[in-house]
Amino acid sequence: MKVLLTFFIWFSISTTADVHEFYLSVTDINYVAEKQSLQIISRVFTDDFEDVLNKRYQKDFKLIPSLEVKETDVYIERYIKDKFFIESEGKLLSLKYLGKKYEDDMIYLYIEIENIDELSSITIENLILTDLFEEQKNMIHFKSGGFEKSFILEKKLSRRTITF
Amino acid sequence: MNRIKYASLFLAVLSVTFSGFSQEEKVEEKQEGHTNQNKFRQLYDEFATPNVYRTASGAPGHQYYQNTADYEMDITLDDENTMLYGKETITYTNNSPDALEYLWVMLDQNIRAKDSPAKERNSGEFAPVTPAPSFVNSHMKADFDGGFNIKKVHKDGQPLPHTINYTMMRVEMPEPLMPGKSFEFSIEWDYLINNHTINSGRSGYEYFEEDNNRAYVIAQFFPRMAVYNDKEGWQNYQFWGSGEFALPFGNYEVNITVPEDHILDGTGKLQNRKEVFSKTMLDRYEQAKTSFDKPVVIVTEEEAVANEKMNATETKTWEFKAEMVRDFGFATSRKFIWDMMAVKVGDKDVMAVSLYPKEGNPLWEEWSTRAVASTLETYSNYTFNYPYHKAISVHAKSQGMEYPMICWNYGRPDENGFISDRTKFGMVSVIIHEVGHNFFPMIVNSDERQWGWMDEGLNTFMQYLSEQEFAKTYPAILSGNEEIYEKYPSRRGEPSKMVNYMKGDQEYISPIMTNPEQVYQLGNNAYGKPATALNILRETVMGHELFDYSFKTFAQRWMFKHPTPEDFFRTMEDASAVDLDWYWRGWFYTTDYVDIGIEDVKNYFITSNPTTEGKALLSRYGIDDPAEDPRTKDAVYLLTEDSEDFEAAMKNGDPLDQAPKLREYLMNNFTQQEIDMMKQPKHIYEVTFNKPGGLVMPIIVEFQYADGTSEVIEYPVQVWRKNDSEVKKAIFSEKEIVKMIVDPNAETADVDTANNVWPREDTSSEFESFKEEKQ
Repeated sequence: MKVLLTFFIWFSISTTADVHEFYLSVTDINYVAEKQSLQIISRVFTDDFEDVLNKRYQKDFKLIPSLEVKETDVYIERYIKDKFFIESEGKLLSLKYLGKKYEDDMIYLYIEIENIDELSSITIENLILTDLFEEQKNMIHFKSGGFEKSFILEKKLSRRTITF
Repeated sequence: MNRIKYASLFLAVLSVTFSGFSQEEKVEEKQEGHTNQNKFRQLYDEFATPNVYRTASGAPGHQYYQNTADYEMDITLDDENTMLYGKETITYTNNSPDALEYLWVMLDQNIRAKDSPAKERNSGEFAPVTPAPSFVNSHMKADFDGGFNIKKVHKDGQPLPHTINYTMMRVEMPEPLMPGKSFEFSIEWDYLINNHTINSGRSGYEYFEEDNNRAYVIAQFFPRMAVYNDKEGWQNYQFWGSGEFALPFGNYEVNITVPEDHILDGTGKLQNRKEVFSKTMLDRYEQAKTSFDKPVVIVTEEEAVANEKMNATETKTWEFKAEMVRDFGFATSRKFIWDMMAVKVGDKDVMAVSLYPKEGNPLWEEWSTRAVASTLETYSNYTFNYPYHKAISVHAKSQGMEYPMICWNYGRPDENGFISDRTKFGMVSVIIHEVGHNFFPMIVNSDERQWGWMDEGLNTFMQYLSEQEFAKTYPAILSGNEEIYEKYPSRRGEPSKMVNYMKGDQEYISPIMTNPEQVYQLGNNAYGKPATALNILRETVMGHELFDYSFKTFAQRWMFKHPTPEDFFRTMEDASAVDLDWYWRGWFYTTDYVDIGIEDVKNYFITSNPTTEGKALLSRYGIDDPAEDPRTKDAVYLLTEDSEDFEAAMKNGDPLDQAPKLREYLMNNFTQQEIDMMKQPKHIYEVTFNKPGGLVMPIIVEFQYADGTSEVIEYPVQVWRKNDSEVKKAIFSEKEIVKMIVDPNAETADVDTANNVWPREDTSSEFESFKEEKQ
């Protein structure tokens, strides 16, 4: 039903109240030079994320702490690795999924890339939830020392390279 | 005393001359002139000029007017074919000073017509891969054939010329409608009702396959008069889907005919309760009228389940009358469970009512009516006593939409009957929100078509207060599946929740003062940001007393009237004596954000010995021997630890020991008692606050002292009025300061807190703390 709803949502937003009528995730990517680490926190709507995991992997996960099964994190990690890519100097970097946290109606995904001793350019591809929602927008806030850049990735424009 | 005056005058002259001197040194090229861009300049350019209709104080003017539209309607539901038929007679009264050549009537259902341009208002494209259902629905399915079929527009049987332009219909009258006159005319119409769970929309039906029943939530269902006023003329901006409604007030008499076994409720007072209620229902209704602590069930779940199995061929007509409402909505189904409880508002009893199919239980019987009652109480406290006799919350899947006295709300246990905290709080929040809309915009009747934020923002702010209040009245709501919550987990209202939006990509952010059709993120733009802005205004800028008084004044001035944004902005100032032009300008007219930090802190010591720097400065004014010169012989010199004249002794003991001339000066001019009252120059700091963010805000600083105590000082926002990027503060402290934190309680939505702490520390980032916790 959600897919149907999503399609129609743009010509008549059915709810004027609390439903997040826009499909938006927000991802902070910070390069911390002294730790040689790229620290990533991605915030997505929990209900959407639950939907996509269940539809994609034909599961019945509940993203609710008390009802969560161990397997959930395995699939979350798999999904992230299917949909979220970081490259630097033409090389795909390997992500480490550290875990997640629930905050209101959002789920925070913690991801790290270690052992990056230098970073002067980065390519970010974020397709998270675009397989569920055509109009999903994924906001990226990138930060490295004093350099900051914010932009939106979406299905048709899912990659961006920044040099700093 | 004279000498003191003389001395301070001298120093003032000195420093002014000195700073003038340094400027002269810098400025070499001729600079260009500029207009006044000061962030504290008044909003004369943005605000409409006050006039006889709307005063500069924000109140309605002495010639304020509004037109009215009264309706008499006969409505019939054909449940089997999902058709709605209506005959209506509108009496439109022109209270304006203008003669009206024609009338505009809104046909909102036409957004669902096959050829509706709203369907093509967005760009679309093909993705290389699309899931089959989405592909079929997006590109292959026949369009829903909705929209009004206008059968007749007439006056006493005589057809009236009319022209339909998409969602607007112009009706021509035999002669212009003069001031003070009324025009009565009739419209006959029908339309195919949409399934709102498939075709979306703010009204329609949900189909339940299991028992072959529909639950209808019906609104925007009749041709409605547009607003004519001093601001817009006719408000006939088309309905494109995001900008909601602008409607005149009026009285309604509505008869609704539905299958006999339906349970129905709607806007207004039910006129024929004895005809449509069973004896049992009447008895229970009488009980409900005096039940102030818990809902009384009028139709039980058992009875509703029995009803589901009926399939009446006979019909029943429910008759309603409503006074001073701006719209009409109703809900009807065989499936409805119905409960009510009374709530005291002022000295009046109001009915809090819920209608829901069994699919909503046990969530709905537990929380809905209680949420309605609590909302009416809290909103009434902050605005005016709820003037209608009832407020209904109807359960409809994925809906959250408001009409006078009635609204639709989502929140349903899943297929296995499980209720997550998200579902529970989502449901209670949406009920509070939609019931709250009775106040904004159903009574404080702003123009939603033009300003989505005016009702949504004010209402979301009030929703936040009501949610917090609800958890105090019903603490049981806080025991969740996952944890025990400390307070109601409001999604919107708290400053920290707005940071991610406000620091976001400027390409996708609009000022609050933007038409809802043109914003990128309606939720953040019309709901979240204005609610947060008002919350910050209340908590940080104005304080509860000034804010609450002014907010209430606005609500009462514009109750049953049509306010504009300026009327709100002006009233908030007018009733509080707080200049807020800077706040409205920054938060409502721009996409600027808050970022205030500490750039630098200098720790000064004093001495009576002329320092190198001090001497250099004085020599510019021809004072070569300051220790002897009568003009400067008792001068105080300030120096930092890295100055070449610094001596370790300055750090310890009584600072006056280092500045004996200051001591002499004090003793020559003041009594010991007066000196004891003075602040001692024990610890002297010069703090530089910088402001990378565009918004001006008060600077709130927590000072932590060496003895373990701390205090919070607030510098007024006006410190930024002459320098928008940086201000310095000279601080005399009795105690040594070991740490300073800007915005220590995260109350300003500061988007970058890394620069808020001095001495700079590597605060463990959100990421690091999570990682540590995991290990």
